[in-house]
Amino acid sequence: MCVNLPQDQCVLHERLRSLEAQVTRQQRLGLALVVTVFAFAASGFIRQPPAKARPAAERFATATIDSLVVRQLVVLDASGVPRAMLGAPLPEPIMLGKRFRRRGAVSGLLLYDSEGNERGGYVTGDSGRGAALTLDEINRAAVHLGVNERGEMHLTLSNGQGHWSGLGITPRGSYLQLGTSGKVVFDATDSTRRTP
Amino acid sequence: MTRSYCRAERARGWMQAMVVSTIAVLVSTPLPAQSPPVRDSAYRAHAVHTHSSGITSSRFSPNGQFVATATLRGDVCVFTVPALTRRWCASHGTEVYSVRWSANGETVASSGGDARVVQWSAARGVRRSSTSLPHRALTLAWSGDSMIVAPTVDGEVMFIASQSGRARVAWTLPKEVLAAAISPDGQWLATGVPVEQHRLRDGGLGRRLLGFGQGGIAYHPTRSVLGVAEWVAGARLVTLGDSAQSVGLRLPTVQEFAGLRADTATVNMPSTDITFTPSGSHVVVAGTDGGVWMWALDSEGRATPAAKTWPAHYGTVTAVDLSKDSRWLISAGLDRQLKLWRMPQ
Repeated sequence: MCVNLPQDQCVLHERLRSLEAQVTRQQRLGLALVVTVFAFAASGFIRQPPAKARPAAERFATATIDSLVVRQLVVLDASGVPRAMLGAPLPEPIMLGKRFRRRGAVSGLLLYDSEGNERGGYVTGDSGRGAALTLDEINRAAVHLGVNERGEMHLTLSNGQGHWSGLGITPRGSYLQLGTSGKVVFDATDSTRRTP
Repeated sequence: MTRSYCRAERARGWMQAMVVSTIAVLVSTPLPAQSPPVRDSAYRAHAVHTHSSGITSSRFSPNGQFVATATLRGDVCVFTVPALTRRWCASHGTEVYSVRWSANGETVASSGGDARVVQWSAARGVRRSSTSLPHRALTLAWSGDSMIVAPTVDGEVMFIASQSGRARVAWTLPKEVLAAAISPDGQWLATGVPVEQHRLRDGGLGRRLLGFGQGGIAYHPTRSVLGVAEWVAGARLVTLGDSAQSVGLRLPTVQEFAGLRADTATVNMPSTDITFTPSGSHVVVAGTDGGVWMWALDSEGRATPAAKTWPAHYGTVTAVDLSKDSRWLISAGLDRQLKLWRMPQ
């Protein structure tokens, strides 16, 4: 389309037009790429900041609810492992990848470690009227604080290897007991034990 | 015109450089790390595969070319050996406790929290059958290719015909069963808790042995010794003779204690799985300390005192198994990792 121009300038003119069109195309392509990169970066695909570094408001969507009526509430950690559970009734215990039987159904709060093992709870029995707070080692309750419906309460610590400490009160009085290697080595019982 | 031509040439050069550098940035940007490094220098994992949740069970196929895994999130997967490339993954539906291969390697059975035993085609992961049990089974054992033994948490020992998928209660034990194994000759079933041995054909001769066996039970290839993984502490080798004797295997781990009396002490950690090398020369135990523990055995199945151990996982190791040629060891853990280890000859 180069009229009134010498032949050599006409060639130059055509090359310039072609070059400008190429630059325009590349500008659009570059812009699209930059937008894509920023879109990925913004969605956290390339360098997602660690969960702990982000402020809580950014990590959790919050909602204010006046009342929440549920049978069970499960709190998951960042890996999807249940770490706390409120329930009535609570599920049966899981330990080292196996969910076995619980001796009697309970309701309340259970705590789990990062592997998903049940490690303690604050519960009441579904069949009896006792309440208990326990802290568990792997596969066994190590600390047990319990009360029945009236008149009895106790705290026991045990390691499952024959060593234990016990402290309690019954309607007959109070007691303190220490055991080592399966034998009672200290036993202090309230001298005023009496029949209620 | 010449000036504008030169400007256009320069602009084209800049644009090309920008496009190339953008692509280079995209290609070179690292993805998030998939697995933490193996801490031990003597034993290095040959291959690692990270699952989406804790692994509860893992076993080699009979020919040693594949590994099956089960997870708390309900995945049942099969991987190739030695690359640990995923062959297939399928969803059982609920958390899965046990995965086992049939003797011919054509079927994988999984048992889950939905009280169902599902049989999968080992080649493609197609669900062949799903059998409903009265209660969930925490462990499975194949009797050849034709029958799956699935003891439940209420003590029912269920026999499942693999062809039809039909289940029947063979007999009932007074306590929950957390682990089970069938003897190499296919005649006996050992169960825990507590450890007992029953004649598989009729459930007779239920004999109480030493130990509890919550973690796992395995027969020595000669059926002279029963390996028992204990949640209480350590593991034990129970001699299966007229008078059952037991030798404890300790998993000593140094722990620091806080509290009123800050102290350091060695404790015997619980174990979660146990297996023997096919030749019977070694016993391997999965520890809750993250370690894989190994003892050499003499000709009568007695363990040498010195254990070999290496830190394999972060936290509890839930499964260990050896390939038939003893070249490879697989370990799986609640840290979601499946690891393949090359065994020294």
